Amino acid sequence: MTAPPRLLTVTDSAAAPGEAAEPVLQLTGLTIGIDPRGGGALDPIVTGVSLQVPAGRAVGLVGESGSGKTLTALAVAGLLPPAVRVVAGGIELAGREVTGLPQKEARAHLAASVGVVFQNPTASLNPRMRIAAQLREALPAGTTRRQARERVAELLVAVGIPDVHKTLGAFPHELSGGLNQRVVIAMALARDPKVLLADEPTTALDVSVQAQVLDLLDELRDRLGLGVLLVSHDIGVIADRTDDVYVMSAGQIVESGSTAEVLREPRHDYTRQLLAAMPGRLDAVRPVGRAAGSEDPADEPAQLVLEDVRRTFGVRSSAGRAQHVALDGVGLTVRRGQAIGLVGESGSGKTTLARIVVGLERADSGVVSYEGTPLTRHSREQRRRWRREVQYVFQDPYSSLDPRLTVAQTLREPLEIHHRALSRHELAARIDSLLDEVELPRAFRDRHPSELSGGQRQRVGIARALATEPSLIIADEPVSALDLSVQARILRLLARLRVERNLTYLFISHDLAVVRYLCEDLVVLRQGRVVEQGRTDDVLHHPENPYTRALVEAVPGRTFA
Amino acid sequence: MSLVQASGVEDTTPPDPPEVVASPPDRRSGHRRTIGVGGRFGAAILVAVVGITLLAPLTSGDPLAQNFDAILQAPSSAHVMGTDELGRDVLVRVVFGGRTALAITAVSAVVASALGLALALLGALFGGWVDALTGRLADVQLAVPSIVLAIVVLSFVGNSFVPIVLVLVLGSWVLTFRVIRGHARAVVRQQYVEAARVVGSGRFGIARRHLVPSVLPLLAVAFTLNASSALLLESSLGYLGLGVQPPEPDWGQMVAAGQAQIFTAPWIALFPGLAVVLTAVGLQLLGDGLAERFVGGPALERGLAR
Repeated sequence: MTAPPRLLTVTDSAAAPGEAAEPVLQLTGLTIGIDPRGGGALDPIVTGVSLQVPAGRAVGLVGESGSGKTLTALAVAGLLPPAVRVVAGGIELAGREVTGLPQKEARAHLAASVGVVFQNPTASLNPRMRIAAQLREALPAGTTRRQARERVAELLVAVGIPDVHKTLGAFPHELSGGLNQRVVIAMALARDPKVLLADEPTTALDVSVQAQVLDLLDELRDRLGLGVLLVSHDIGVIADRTDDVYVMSAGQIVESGSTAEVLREPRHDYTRQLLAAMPGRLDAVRPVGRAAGSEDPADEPAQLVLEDVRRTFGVRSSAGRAQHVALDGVGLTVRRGQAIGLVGESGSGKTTLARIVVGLERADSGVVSYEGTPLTRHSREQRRRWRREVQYVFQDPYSSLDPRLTVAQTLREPLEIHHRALSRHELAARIDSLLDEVELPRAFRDRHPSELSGGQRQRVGIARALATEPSLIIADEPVSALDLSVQARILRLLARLRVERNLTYLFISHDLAVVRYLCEDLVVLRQGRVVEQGRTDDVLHHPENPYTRALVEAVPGRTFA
Repeated sequence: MSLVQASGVEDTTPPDPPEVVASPPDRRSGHRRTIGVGGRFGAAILVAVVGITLLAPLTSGDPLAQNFDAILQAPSSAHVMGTDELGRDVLVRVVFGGRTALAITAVSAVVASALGLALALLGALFGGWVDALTGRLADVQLAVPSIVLAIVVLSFVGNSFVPIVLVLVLGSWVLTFRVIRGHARAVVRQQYVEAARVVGSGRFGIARRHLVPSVLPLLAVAFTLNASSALLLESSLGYLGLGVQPPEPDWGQMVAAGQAQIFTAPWIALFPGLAVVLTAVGLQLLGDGLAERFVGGPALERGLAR
């Protein structure tokens, strides 16, 4: 797979660090405005952004969602949405100013000099086209059929895809996320660009795959002398992979410089916040602890026990029907007061496990017991108790709240079901105290989900789970849809609630750092089986299973943390 | 102890910046929140038609009064829409005919929508065989042409108000059912419905709190579709002589009666026919307007939520 393909232009301009290489991308005072009503009045959302991407170097653009980093990237790629326009400033690409050019010429120049890689590979590929056809489409016009066939294969080799022929004939849904992202990168390289624009290229991927894709970007940069602009919210990725960094907040560059320096001595408050929110940093201040007076959970009776739980799903693919084994004989014991982290990559079965425990999904075989009785043999009274005591926090704070209901209406639902005797006045008081508990202003009572940020919605989701006075909370990736600084705050909230309410947690995450922050015990799941379990620190410091070791090593931000 | 530890965490991190809150969606999508020109026009037509028919006893004469001195007169200032072969005023008969047609239409549309809604929600909430059964029922209904069904049923039980309504309901509940069912099945799979199950909500709690409110806008659209198809079916029945019986006026039946004189006195059939078309167009326009206003709604919400 390794021989450099001959059609790819190999330049040896990979500049030594520090040497002022020719910038292949230069933004000067770029200002972007949005015109929401189509009336011509533009509200600026990105103001005066200047940055340089030299050939052969990786430059990071970091900021939280809403900071304008993606719009900046889209402007460079010429892909701004209809209501958004470049108001002022210049974009110089491969030595040529793009902003003043007539549209057609600008397009042609962009197509020839920028390759773009977006966050979600499956969304950037056409689900109804084979990979070969999609790659051919990306080649410059005028390529003959024969050339195209060779070139397409070479591109796949260049991005390190092992089985080129099989991949060419496949549809995107038949490939993994990592392979799809490699295909997208191959498409970006198809026209020999000078600049590679990668907007959160690995956010949608599992950690171990993330590392491979980022390695590939590094390798391509060195080999082809590309200038790489890496846009990310993940400061760990930026720390590991870039030479220079620009920190963006509220549409402006607030800090820039060499990555090592900026991260070592951040001058701007916002940069400091970003750094402080890094999960890798959280473990330095690990807050977990059990409520006062409680025994060591090892001596507590088991609250929830899973024995040999199996679950398979039927799936259909172009190869016919198949069985996907989500859980393949999982055993797990959760004791009162414990916080157990359930770790694994996507497809490892962790979400299925959680859904079975809360009754949203049924096991094909095996036993799930709560307080000593299997769920299937619960009496009415036991069932009601299990319903009240076991609650679930969903991953996606957007779709887990009914968009039509206000915060108060959402919280009223569990209260009305489990505390029927409450008067209207008492209900209102309960809702207020729940809002206090999750640190939301009481005035949010009458807001709809669309008027809340992601973090605020997740707080409402947590408050809903607390409303029934549960003792066991199952949280399925509760922070993975949130910005890092918001993540940190939600995690602190969860840690505090655990102590105050004496909760037991079963905490599902793909993010080891997050689990490490919140849980003393850890269970590693792979392909529906438990491959390792034990105290979190032991497992992370001395992983016994090779898979666990790979997971631990793939966590970004190691160079820095 | 642990509480102290927990507060120790707060100190090591900088103060929380305010979270950015997306502006409420209503402002941006303001232009979507109306039923549009067409919808308003349709609503105006319906208000006018219903108003005129409701006020008929106050404003016009007797629809059954015959006047043999004025047989088959063309439209004039005395008889705006002319007279028929018995010298009855066509305008008066059209206005009174609307009372029967619209009453039957309205009652059957309400019953049909309610039936369609109920079956669709049951299917979505219970899934499994309930959903399969209601789905098959709808398929059967679609496979039998409603006009044939109507002819069979009405020729057996006779054509009074209740059988006619029954036949119209049978012929049009599927419209509502199919529109609502698709949406309800999507809503039931939403995470917020799962969340409701986890906090202990039963099926009826979910229906009351989540499903019905989200389905209501669609129901408004489906209702107008239902009403227009019921109106057309009712007119066809009248035309075939299976609907309201003469001498009681009814639009479809009047068109059929006027057919004999279509070349000598075209106004007898023309004006009741126009009335049917006008009302149906009004319903359709209103339905389209409502669809534009609401059906973009859920999709729009989802888009903004991302």
